[in-house]
Amino acid sequence: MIYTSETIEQLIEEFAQLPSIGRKTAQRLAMHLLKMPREEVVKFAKAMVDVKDKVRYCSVCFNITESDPCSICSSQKRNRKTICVVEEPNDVIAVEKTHEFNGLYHVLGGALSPLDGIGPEDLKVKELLSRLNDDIDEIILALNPNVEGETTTLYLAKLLKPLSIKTTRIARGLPIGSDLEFADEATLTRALEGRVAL
Amino acid sequence: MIVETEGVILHGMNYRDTSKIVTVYTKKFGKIKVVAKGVRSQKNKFGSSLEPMTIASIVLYKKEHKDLHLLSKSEIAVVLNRLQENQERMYCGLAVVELVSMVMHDEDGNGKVYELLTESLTAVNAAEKNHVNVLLSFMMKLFGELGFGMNLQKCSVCQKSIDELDVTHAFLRLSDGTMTCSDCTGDLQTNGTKVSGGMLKSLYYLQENEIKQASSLALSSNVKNDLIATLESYLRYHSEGSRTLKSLSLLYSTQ
Repeated sequence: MIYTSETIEQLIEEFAQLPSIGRKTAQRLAMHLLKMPREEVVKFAKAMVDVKDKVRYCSVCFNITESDPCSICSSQKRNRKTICVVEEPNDVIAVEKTHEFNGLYHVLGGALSPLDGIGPEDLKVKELLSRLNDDIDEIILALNPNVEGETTTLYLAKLLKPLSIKTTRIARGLPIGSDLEFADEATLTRALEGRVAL
Repeated sequence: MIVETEGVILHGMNYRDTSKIVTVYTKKFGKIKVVAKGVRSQKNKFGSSLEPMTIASIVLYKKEHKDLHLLSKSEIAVVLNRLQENQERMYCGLAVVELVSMVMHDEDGNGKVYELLTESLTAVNAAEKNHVNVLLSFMMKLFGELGFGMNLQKCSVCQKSIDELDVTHAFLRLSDGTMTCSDCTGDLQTNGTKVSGGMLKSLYYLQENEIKQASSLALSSNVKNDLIATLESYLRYHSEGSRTLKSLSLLYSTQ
């Protein structure tokens, strides 16, 4: 034990278990908490407990929510004929920020990764299939442009084909503000494949 | 020590906010792990060269007596654009890297295995059909490189060459990879796995011919499945800790 207080030592240990937090950062955070007013610390602790008590997964789309079904699934203003399939709840936030999509979501909870032993049974694939009915016009696959995302896209595309529902994927290519000369071959090839007529 | 080498990306794992720990099978040093700092951020210029199945030219800071090195540069060395075109290509390519990841030890360089690995990925990328054959051929050749290759050229009892044999089935002995023809053993399953005459000749073809020729061999789905099952049990017998290839399970789950 470096510190004379066992409580501080315990707090440092707890902080150090969080992702991206090493022991040095954990020490800084613990010291900062010590200097904060008590009411601020209580507010901080309450927020952490609340997140565990109140937040759950939506039983329809598996996004994180405080009410079930979530505000997107229960909204009458959303286009209920289109479902955008994403890997994680963070991806829903990213798509929502664009204000370009007004449909519903389905969060898979990850992507297929045979190399990590993650198969279809580990994702919310069955739940997606059970949501599909005659009212659905389009499924948009918005998965990460990496091997895992690609594996999942190919898998879902094959699974959805017999259902005769229009299935699309988001475009892949160059990010806005980047330079063509610095783009790698794989990205540039995808950009060329996805070119559009003007 | 700053070193430059070519390598095949086997696996990537997210590390901190924007970095990755990548497992690479390199030409010079065998299977190594490198940290690719900031590789997941949008400004990064070599992200796609660190995806599994990519053949890349890499520059790394190799630390002596450490098992995690620092990547400083990576570029795609061979463009394999078609690997992600369809499921069979994708899963066979993944199975090739999964197998290498599973059986090769860390920092144990083997130039021949590297050659087989790149040849197989290139062949899966180029083949129009029968991508699974490429994987089977790779497995047969890899077993040979690792010291437990099969000896299918002749029957271990009567010494008749496989070309002279006209048998309905044979037995493949897992312990030493030798084959005994049905004329010598009859129907009795002595101490080996029963394989049909067709399977035996297919295995021999895949072992003896170049990997790129594997896709020209026409095999029925049943024979392919039997060959995979036989090779997987052979691998399990010889390589401790090996398991069923998950990539192939995924391929069969969608068929």
